[in-house]
Amino acid sequence: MAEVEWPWQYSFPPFYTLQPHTDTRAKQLAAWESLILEYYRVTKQSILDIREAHTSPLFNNTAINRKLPSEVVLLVLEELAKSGNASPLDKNKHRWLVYWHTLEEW
Amino acid sequence: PQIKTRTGIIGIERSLREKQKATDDSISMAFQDLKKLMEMAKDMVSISKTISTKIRERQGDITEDETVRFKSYLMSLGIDDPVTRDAYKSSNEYFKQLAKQLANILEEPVKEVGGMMTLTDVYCRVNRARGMELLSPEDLLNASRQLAPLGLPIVLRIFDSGVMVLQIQSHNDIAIVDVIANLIKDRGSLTAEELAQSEGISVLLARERLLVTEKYGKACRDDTIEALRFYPNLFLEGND
Repeated sequence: MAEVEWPWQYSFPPFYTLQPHTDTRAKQLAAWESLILEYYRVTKQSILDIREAHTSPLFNNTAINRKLPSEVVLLVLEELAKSGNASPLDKNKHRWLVYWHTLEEW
Repeated sequence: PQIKTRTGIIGIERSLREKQKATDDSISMAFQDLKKLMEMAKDMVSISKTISTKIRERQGDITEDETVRFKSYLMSLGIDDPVTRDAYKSSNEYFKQLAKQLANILEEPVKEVGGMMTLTDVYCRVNRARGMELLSPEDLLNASRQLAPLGLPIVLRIFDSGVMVLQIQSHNDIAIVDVIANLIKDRGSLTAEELAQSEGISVLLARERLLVTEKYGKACRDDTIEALRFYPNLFLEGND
């Protein structure tokens, strides 16, 4: 498996708390979106289960002992769905397909 | 007049019985008086209600002397009826005077603690200094509300969290935000407790200062079980 190049945010603790300030939150979510896409492209995965999200180093940084809460994972995925980079596989929105490129791009 | 025999058990018993009777009498007297007092107060309440409906009929924004006096009657009875009262006068004359006094005695202490004092601290200070004729929390709050309309050097401020403080008029949020933002940068990250300790302010105020800093986009939060820490807002500073 290829090594993922973590962005600076990955080791920045506030990255794992949803920010209440509007502009800050927008930046934070955008960073998460690109990180998820990058990670899935490099590790060649496409299915994301929110219930298992914490087993992946993507959402669980053991080095600084921070996890991204599941609600926020869902929020990021919904943002990704808006841009066409993800879609839910079941009604409860537990399992998601992540597209490295949007379907239009293909 | 009775002849009091103080000899023997009968004498002791009789004097005991007499004492008990006397206390019983005074107790029942007290309660009767109280009942009468309550009845009088009830009358006053109903009268003041009819007066307030009369005032309502001729509405107006002008602060007349009559309404001023009526309000002070209500205050002295302990009946608070702000819903019908507020339309006729901004607030009681008493609160205005109290507000002026507060501004007088608090201006210096508030400056000493950095330009901001929570209302509970103010309450403690004022009442401890007074000793007699203490203020009720409502009195203090109502008087504080009058500070700004009267153009006094200290004003009431309510934070988003509902915490109320008195601050000096010239207090400047942006200046504080800059100071706090620099502090966070120097230390790497800060909790409210750490800020309180290093600045010598209360934890409550330290927390509000950090939240204001966050609101201006100069800090971001890291919320964990350990503590709520504030970091420099690297998201917005564009390090990427």
